[in-house]
Amino acid sequence: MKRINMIIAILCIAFSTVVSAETNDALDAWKSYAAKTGNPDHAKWVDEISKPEAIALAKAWKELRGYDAQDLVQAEKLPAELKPGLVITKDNAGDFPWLKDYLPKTTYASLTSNDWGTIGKITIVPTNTYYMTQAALDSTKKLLEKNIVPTINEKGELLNPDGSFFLLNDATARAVPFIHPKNGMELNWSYVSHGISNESEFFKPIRIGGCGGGANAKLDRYYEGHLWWQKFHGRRLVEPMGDVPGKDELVEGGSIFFTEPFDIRGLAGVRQRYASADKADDFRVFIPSLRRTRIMTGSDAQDPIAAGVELIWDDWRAYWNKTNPDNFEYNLTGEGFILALPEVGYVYDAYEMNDERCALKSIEVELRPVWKLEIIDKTGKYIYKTRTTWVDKENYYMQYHITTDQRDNVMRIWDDSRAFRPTTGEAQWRFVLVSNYLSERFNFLEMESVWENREQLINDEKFDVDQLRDYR
Amino acid sequence: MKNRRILLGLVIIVMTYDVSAASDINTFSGWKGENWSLHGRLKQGVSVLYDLPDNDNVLGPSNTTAELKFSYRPNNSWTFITNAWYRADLSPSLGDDFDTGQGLQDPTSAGFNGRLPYRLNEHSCLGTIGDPFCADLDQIRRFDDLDEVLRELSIKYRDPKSRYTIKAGKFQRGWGQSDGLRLLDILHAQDLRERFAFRDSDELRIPAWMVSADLNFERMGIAAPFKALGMRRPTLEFNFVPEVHHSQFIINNPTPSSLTAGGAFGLPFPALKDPVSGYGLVGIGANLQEKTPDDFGFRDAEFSMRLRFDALGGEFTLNGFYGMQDLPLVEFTGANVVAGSALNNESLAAAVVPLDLANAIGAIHAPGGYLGWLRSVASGNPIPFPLSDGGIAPLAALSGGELPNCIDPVFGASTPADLPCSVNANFNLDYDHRQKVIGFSFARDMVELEIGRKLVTPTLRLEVAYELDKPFNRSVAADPFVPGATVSGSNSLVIGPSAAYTDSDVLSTMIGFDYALWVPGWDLQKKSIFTSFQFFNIHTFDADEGLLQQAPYGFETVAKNQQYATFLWNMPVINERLIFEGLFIRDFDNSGTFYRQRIDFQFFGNNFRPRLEWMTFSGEGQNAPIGILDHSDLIEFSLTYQF
Repeated sequence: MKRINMIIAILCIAFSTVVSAETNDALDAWKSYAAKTGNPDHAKWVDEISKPEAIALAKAWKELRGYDAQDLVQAEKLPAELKPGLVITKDNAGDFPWLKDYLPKTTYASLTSNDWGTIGKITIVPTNTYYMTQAALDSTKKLLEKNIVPTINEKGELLNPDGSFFLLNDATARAVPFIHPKNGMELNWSYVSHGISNESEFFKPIRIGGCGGGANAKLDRYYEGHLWWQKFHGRRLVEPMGDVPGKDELVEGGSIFFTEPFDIRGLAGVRQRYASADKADDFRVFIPSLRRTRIMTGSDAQDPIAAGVELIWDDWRAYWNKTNPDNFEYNLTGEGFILALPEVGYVYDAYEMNDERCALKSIEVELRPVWKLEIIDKTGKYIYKTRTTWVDKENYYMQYHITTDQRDNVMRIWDDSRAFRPTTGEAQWRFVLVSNYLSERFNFLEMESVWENREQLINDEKFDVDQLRDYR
Repeated sequence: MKNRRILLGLVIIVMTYDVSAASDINTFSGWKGENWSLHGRLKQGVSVLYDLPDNDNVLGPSNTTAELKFSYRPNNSWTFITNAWYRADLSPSLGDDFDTGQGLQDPTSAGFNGRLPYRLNEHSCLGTIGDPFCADLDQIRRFDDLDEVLRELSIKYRDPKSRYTIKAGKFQRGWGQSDGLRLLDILHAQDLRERFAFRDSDELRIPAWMVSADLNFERMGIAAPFKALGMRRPTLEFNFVPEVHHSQFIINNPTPSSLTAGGAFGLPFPALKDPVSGYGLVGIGANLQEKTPDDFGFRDAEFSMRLRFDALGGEFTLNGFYGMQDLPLVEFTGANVVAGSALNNESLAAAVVPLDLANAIGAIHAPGGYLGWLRSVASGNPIPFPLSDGGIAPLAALSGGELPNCIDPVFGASTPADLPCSVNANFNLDYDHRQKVIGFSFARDMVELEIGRKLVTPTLRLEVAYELDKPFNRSVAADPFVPGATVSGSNSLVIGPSAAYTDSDVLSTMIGFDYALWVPGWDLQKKSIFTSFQFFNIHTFDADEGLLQQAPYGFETVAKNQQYATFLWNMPVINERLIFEGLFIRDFDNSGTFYRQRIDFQFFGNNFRPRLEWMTFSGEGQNAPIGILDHSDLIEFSLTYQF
């Protein structure tokens, strides 16, 4: 017995030594960078990504994908100056002719030429490794092990070989359907399947602000509310596990309860997505001035969520437009790299707004490997003629998108910094920039994510507008 | 006039307020903590009435609203909400008096069909035929009873497993799919004193002390039978309301002994007319009292239930309501003979001689009574006035010889001691009747109908309510003295309740469509125009028996099928900072038209909300709800400071 105990002890020591010695290139790069900057936020981030659970999860996802972001970055021939620590301002941007190849043109314009919604300073930080949850990993692995290949039918629905909806089936609902997408539709579905990344999400609060007025912009719209999101199937992390009762046909739902300003306080909306292409969203709103619930049309997702803000329903959680090959063309138009806001919001803010909250004093960006997904409206009737999305090659979520109107003018962009939680692979949101380049309106969303007690806080009440009306 | 200048000055100050300062969003937004918040608003309006008969433009309702809302949610199971508001109207203090033109019948007019003046916002009048009636507007000056101030004081408990919730306290709940006209939204009485029914519905409902329970059958594990019937996500709402309110309204009653005035939105005192002779019921006033159910208790408590479920691609509700009527029947209880005042003023009378119900009916309807006299005058062969010497019940006889007789309006005084006389009929506004309604509503996104520039689908709304045995005052009733004959119009109110009341089942139906309109050719349109169309049909099964719309102010008869249409549009422009909202209502059967235009200016940050509002009514005088407000057209500017 004594001998066995000794062996166990030796094994434990050996195992912990191995684990503590585990690392990855992103962590190494960050350690080095944090040591150089001396920034306590950076040090905290290093602490977070150094945790064994984070390292293990990163490693497992890397094995599944066959790469991580650092592998792709290191394999790419990059400009010599494109390194962590480089600071770019309007004054020196011209010194880096390669910058236009890595920054979206809208970001570049905000840095160099716009007189509204400007970005004062960009600092490049090391490339992170982003991944999803253990549940998503396990589901995806099983998919591959069992050689289950999802199909996309003529309606654009994502189906399992047994005919079930991929995102409703408990076995597949959390999986990435196409680890290595071969075309635009496959990439679209991997992006859609990512959804909110996690199973339950709670912003308390979400702040939505809008500015107009060019160089002298002032915040002229401001809302606060609480926002919830839930995936209804394949749940493994947050109660209820498995399927959420009563949501047999629904993939996921989001809801919002506005708390400010006073004249719309109590306005609550619940929007839930059916898996079937034939069913528009279940969209219900409680209108305080009527004290009544109204069913709204799920097909009009092109209106702003609230007056004066640039966030339209089809853009909430970045991409909510329902897949429809009759109306849209989905093209994988390329791959490459983009400089985008890091998802470090779980630990610190990678952005700083000016005092008026109408421009960015500074942002951090990191180099991300991406696919380029172009969604083209075939009807000529949709608000966006094109939606160009840079989809991250590690987590299948977007890093940036640009939309154009039917006259090919750049209309809106979406740039976000999420609150990625390295130990679980979950991600909520911290900051979104959603600005309109036609009306030159700078809009932001700022969110404080709730992580604890989500199993209690995100329940049926939040997805039944007749209950949500009495939330506060 | 001075007051008007002050108000104009205030408006100019507000309109020229430094926009750049006001539009700073980083202003005060209430108090809040992790689990609680306190917000509120202060609103002041000022309006001009521009369509009053025989008046220049006058200051209209100038409402003040101060509101606070506190909420506390200590955990996921409990929520406490308190909401209080204070409402007032500055117009009684600042405005000039104006004449409604709706006093009692004018004895000097042809056929007595003219109306004497009735000046509002004036507490002293001459009491002569030229200036007979006036009233101040104290009844709308402030709404500050505790019951009026407290809008919500509630506590809600949620089962952690989401099986049920219970909410108790004072609050309101809205039912149904209809806007404007209430079919199923009947859980609460309405406060009609400020803008009648033409304001936001949450401000109209009178909250009540009540208990509501919502049961989630899915979570309770008893949804299977419902699912077998195709009813998904079934939930049951049950409401118990031990406190009974009736709707609040103010009649502009010129009768001096029952003087009430609600200003421009006070309901008109009806024209009193004998349909047989065509003559006005001259000399008749009305004393109005309320007869209400128990304020609080089980005997008159209200119960309601709603089963909500998804089916056929939409949401259904099945509703049942067992409550009390919000609006009254008019019950004739007797009359007062006002001896010594021809203008119905009991306080100036030499004596007031009460007549009980039987005597009052007799004095009016019996041969030789008031109606007989009126018709004889109309025919040109007058008989003696019933209360005069030679009438069937001379005043001297009624008063046991203590009083002389009334002066005969046609033949004059028989003795110098004879007195001018008038009669005030005594009525109860009788709310003590049950209301029994069943119905259903259905709302559905019509996904099959993608139309318009952006292929948007309309939303269908359907609501049906069936009220059993709805009580009505008759517009045609049995003549109490002539078997087989009938009395009608105003005369049918001055009979005993057993003959004056009847009931009928009523089937009310609404079909409506909401549609987000993207205007063809308007490429830069940033937000859709919300449009909402509704059509109502209210079928009263026994309408052909002769029913009054709503005594005592809606004096027209009920049509078999009463039809309305409404159209609402809401168009935000300039980054949704300038918002136009229009509401059109058409009453087809009574040729009534209402239009309200609101313009909201959201250029001033989150604290300030200026609004322009224009309301215009066009309809025939005694038709509810539009015709009765024919002269209440107004333009209002209001400014809300909110935090």
